[in-house]
Amino acid sequence: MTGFVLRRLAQMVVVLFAVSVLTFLIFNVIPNGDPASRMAGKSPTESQVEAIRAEWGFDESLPVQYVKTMEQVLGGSAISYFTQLNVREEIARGLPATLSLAVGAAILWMTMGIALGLLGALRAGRLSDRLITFFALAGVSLPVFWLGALMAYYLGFKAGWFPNGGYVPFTEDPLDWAYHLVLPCTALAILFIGFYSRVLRSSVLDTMSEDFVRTARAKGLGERQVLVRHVLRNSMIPIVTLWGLDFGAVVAGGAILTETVFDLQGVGQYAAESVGQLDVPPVLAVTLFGAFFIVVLNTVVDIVYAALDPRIRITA
Amino acid sequence: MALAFGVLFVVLVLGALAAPLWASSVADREPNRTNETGKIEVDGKQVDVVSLEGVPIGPQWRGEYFLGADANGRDVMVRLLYGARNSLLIGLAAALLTTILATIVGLVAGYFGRWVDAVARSALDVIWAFPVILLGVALGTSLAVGGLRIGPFELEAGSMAISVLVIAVVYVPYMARPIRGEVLALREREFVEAARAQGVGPLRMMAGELLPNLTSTIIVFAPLMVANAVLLEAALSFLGVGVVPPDPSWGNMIDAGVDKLVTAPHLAIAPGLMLVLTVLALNVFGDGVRDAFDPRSDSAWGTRRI
Repeated sequence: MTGFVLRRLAQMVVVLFAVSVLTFLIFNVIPNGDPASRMAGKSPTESQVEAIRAEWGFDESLPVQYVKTMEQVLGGSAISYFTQLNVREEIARGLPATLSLAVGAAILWMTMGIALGLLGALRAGRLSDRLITFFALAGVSLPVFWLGALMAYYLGFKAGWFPNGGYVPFTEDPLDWAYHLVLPCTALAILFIGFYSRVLRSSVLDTMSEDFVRTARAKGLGERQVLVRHVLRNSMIPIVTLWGLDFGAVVAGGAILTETVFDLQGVGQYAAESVGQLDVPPVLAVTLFGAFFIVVLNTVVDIVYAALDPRIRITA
Repeated sequence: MALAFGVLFVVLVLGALAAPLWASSVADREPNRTNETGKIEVDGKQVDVVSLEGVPIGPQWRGEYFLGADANGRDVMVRLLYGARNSLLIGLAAALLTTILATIVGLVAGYFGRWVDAVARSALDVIWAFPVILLGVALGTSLAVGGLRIGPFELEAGSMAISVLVIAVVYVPYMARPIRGEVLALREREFVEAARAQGVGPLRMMAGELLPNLTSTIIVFAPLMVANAVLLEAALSFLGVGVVPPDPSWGNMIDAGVDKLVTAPHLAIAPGLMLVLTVLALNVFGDGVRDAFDPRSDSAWGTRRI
């Protein structure tokens, strides 16, 4: 087990390094034109650009540039030249809202996805199964920025059932916090429910044809017991893997669109607003921190898996 | 059902192709021509296209301003059709490019194995580590000002080619991984061994022996890739790093319409419905294709949500 953990951690370090290099390439090397003036935003002064060039090392060799860029971002001294605000502090400020959204949506999409997936598998081929499949397809086909905007307007602003966007910190008023999260979490979860139900459905169908299920039935277990204790438990592995990826992506700023249309003031919205101004440092920082977070989370998920299932330690 | 939705997609494409026809002979308006102070006749009365309070006229359900006007007095129906051209063109081109890149990467990595495979796999893993939308946004933002130049190739900032390239690159790992896996399995089969015994070189092996056996995988992925590409294009345009206004795309039309939901809901609803219909048509059609070609796999389905 220790060997596996060490190997996995070493792998993680390599991927983190590669991720940082790719981020660096995307922002500083691939695009055409002067990186310093791109950093500076829409209407920079000459002296500003000069200062940025020195600070980020744009007049030096690429390896030095890379090191200086990483120092700026990871060291926490990078600022947005548009708003003059510290980028890392802004990201930290948006994190509670983003985490709340991710947790709420994840609970919703997991429970609904499992329920619908199980139902679809038990009724495979019947009308209810086909209906679930169609709604699942419809769910993944809905653009969240459109659905969210319509929900915020019609259910929030017009009907007055929910707040028309915004975020209230949990520490301020837990009830209002939850109330503000209902619509965004639902909108985001709709994207995932269809996909999860679909994956679980095929996983359950696969598991049901396994020998141990027949054995469980043969030894006289009730159908309910077989389903919950044997089939469902063994069908959850692909879902949990996916969950690790998707939850990570949402926390890492992947909910840019949802956060923006519901005005949640999270990390994603911070990135989205910076994109609108072509404000590069915040976008760079969110991208880098986001990818870092996902890589670390995946490593943790893998290690937890290996602890639970000894087979993985050998094959990985 | 899948076939019906496939036909729906073809109809949408034909509609996009017919955009100039509608613009010139039915609506008589250009997509980017503004008309803030004009008037049109409604029920025998002269009505402002955009009222003094800035509220554009709603759907007329006939020739000019069929779906109403936007805040600048432009014809929404005409913009919708021209937007369809941009959105679909970018989506189709990006999906095609993804397919080509992913097939090449998958073939080369799977066939050569060893260090080539290791390098390709880690490159794909690194791209995989980024959330789709974040990577698209990052590339879109960094290329939005100066464009791109690689050797003799130059893509101007704001051109649609940039969107195509960004979207194509983002989705490569999602398709290259399964193709690589397939090639690994094919490589062990007798027909490959037979070809190798006859002295077939790597290039002919990949193009002539392996590629034909990948067609069903590629066909299963293609419609879903187009659906994902259209959706990502709309998201990027919505955020302001896709099609540059005043040129229309469904994404930037929704972006402009969301602020006006109170007074003119048709501005956001019309392009959104087009987008949903297109993506749904492709997804349902793709699901049917998968059932026909490869009923056991679910992997291509809804690759990654944005």
